[in-house]
Amino acid sequence: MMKKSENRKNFDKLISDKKSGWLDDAVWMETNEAWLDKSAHIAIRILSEIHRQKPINGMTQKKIAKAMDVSPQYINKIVKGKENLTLETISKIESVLGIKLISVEKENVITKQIKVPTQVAKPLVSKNQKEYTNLSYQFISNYQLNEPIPNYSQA
Amino acid sequence: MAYFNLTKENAVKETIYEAKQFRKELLKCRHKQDKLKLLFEKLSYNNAYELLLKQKSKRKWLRIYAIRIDENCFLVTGGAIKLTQTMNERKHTNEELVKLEKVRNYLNDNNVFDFDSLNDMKSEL
Repeated sequence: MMKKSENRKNFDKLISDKKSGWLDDAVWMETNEAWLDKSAHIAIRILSEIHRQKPINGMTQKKIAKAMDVSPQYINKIVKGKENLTLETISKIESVLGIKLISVEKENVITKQIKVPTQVAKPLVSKNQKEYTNLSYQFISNYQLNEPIPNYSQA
Repeated sequence: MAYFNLTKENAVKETIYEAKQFRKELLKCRHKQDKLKLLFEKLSYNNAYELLLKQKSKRKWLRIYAIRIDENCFLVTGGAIKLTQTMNERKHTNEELVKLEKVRNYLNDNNVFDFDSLNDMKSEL
């Protein structure tokens, strides 16, 4: 059994005077999650590219720093994945490493569905015009509710 | 060594994802402290617990280690990536075991056995 003083010594070695502040950090990370995710992915991509190029051209974080005219500490900060990078910085890294880190989609890619107030759709045709019923509902968003049904057979 | 045929990059991404889930679960416990006990699983080691994501996944390797002091009071001692069956098999997880042991001994020596006695000890420090 360990002595009390020895326990205390061992315990003191493990603890710090500073508060961990994990809650503040966690709330901050939660609030900034969207860009932090992107920053982390960019950091992983940069590190893996450095690893790939190292045996070929001796690429290092220091070399990138020199080519970008910034301090190696700054590059080290970037590869930790918690840096809010500017487009200028990203472009410079892309140019030094010869890779593409981000791109902008050419087409409109919808990532978030915007809710439009729902309108109660009444059948545009009478019950005896069953053959048009499905068609009417399908295109309802493109036509006024009381507009005549377009005749697709003549189109 | 290949683990689940993962690339290094994907392993890092999965670890980041796991850490994020831990953070979210722990943040939820800010207002519902009784949920804390549901997050931790008991280790075979005396009174020690580990935080393990209880979602269905083939691979989960991130762990947070803690000593349970009261029903919903855990003293976190550290964390690790655990890839082996037992904690003794690797140096870094074995160190976590040593930490757990040291903290447990310290708490025992200071008569910490519940939330109130923990607060008493803190005020005496």
